[in-house]
Amino acid sequence: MFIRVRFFGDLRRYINKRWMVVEVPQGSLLLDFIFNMANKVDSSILDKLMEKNEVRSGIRILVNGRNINYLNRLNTKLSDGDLITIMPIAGGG
Amino acid sequence: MPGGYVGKFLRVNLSSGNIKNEKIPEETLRAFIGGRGLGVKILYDELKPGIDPLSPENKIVILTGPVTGTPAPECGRWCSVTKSPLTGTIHDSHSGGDFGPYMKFAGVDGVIFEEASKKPVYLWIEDGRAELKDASNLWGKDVFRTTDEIIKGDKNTRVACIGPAGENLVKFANIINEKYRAAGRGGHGAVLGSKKVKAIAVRGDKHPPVADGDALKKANEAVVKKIHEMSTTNDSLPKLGTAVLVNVINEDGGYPTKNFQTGVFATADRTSGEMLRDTLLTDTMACWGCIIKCGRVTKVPPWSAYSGEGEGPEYETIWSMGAQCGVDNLEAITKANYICNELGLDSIEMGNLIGLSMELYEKGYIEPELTRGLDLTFGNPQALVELTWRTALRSGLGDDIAEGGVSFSTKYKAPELFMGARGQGFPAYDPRAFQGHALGFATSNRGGCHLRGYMIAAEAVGEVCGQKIELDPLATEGKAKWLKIFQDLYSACDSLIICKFNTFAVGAEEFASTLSAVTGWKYTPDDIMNIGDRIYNLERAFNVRERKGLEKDTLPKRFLEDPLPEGPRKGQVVKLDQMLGEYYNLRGWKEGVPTKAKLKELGLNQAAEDVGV
Repeated sequence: MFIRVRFFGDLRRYINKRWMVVEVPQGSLLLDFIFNMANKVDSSILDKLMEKNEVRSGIRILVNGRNINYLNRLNTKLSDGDLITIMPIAGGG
Repeated sequence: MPGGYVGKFLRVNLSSGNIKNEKIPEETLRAFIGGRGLGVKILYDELKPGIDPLSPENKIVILTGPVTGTPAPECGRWCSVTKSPLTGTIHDSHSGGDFGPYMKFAGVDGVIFEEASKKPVYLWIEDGRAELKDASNLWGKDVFRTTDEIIKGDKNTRVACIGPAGENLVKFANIINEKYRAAGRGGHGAVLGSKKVKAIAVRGDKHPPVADGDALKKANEAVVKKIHEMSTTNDSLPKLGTAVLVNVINEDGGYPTKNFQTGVFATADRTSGEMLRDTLLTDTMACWGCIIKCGRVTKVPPWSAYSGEGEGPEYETIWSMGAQCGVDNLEAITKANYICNELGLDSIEMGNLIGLSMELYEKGYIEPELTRGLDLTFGNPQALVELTWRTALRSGLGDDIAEGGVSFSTKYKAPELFMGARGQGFPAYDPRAFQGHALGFATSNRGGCHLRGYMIAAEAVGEVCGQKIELDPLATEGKAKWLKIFQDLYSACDSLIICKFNTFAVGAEEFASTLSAVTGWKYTPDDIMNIGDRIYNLERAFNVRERKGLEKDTLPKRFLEDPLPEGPRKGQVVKLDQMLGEYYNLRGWKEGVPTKAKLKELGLNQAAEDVGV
């Protein structure tokens, strides 16, 4: 199945992309997807996204616009056509 | 004498020209601290209900807090408190830059302006003394030229002034200091304009005394450590400024687009913090005493139709001139931002109302002839700059817009299309996407405002007072409790005065240790929250005393009945009735009015008598 991912914040400069489409096996979880994507781009981005098997503090991930903390976090099951958004923790005015 | 305060509050009678030193009783300072709290207290006591905010009977108080200008991080702010010509409520407006600390260095804690001058004047403050100087050669001039002509290159002088918008009594004209920092909302610039006060200039270099320097050093170290621990203050704000929120809020599906008709702006990324950094950013900027450095210095290149340079745009302006108007041209947005500063009007309100005018135009409420050739369909970047000029100068349609959203939309027979509360336009968050923040919009004492209770910190960011606190934006449960905490904390924050961005990293505990160290008076975290509660209640009492209807906490029908049509929050409406009852219980209010018991509990005996139920 095909999963779309959008990058925001500093990650864009690091990965040098704004978005990607990644093919993953049916039934993949978000965690599988992240490893898959890191393989395709550059495995060192794993370090930017993860810390000790958790999402790195400072990074916020949405699946179809919903914060993964209200889904199943890294074990959120993905479906074909899902949109994953990876963005910085950011606040302002 | 408590530390922090320099011990001088000036009362300036603009009619007689008399300036005297006002003694504020210590128990008032203890109970209200300074800044917003002190301003609200002074005006509750001194203003009668029913006065015209643009008449000589109104007063306007320019204030710092005891922490302003000390070594505490992020203490570089000042505020203005008055009865707003836009909302008719008690209203405080805050700004950064240098002006606040320099007012203290000039030997003054605050200034109360009363009556009105017959001729244009500006106030000059130096060494604790003040004089009213002739401003007739400055009247009519824009903010940038006014600032330069008063400062004349002196490095110890700072200026807060109004532009043509304030002079023309535009209801959302602002006060600008250091050319690009604004006490933006509520039309405080119009109040100064009605009093013929063109500017306040402060000159000095004497730092305010601090009661316990060692304790303050320790408190500051703790604050700095927390600021570096949180991603908002250590990472995203310094790197991308507040503009980082454009994509964040848009991806959440709550980015108000085309006058809040939807919550997703397809081309938002063209106007994002990332785009700003990649194309127009030339430097970053910090207010006095700030280590976060969220300010943006920008330049639109000379070959652009929108060339110019200055500071900003911030997230709110990017939204108001961008998605709110369907415009995705970052250069046009940035130029409109520069012009708002030059002319002295609130970029949030201006953009909100340009978006409103576009919906009125597209739906046929504004006849094309009235726009004098300007195409007011959503997405036209020309509208941003042209309508900003027209509004500041009250020319053509701008004269109607200058009266504010309620008047403007009512004149064109569609009052339901103004997206605001208590007469002030909503800022860059669609309330249908964030239930707690929506409750904050409805219950804000100064009208449409995201800063009275920035629930976004929990509902979309996840960093609150140094902890990873996340609240589900779709849920209504527990939101009333959290909103009260935010509102009380920020009321205190606005009185110390400390920049709210600190509150991603620190909270009442750190405010208490900082304030105790600065003043020498003992404050606990509970004291801080209690003072905040007191201030919030006194503001509400002012509004209730002012006029029937100002106690009504509600939102436009669009948010209560029209679901978001698309995006991640598709189908959502604001479930206000599920939260308001609990909020009133927690506040000790009945239908938006504080009870006698609550007001007495907070030591607000006069207010209890005047309005308590």
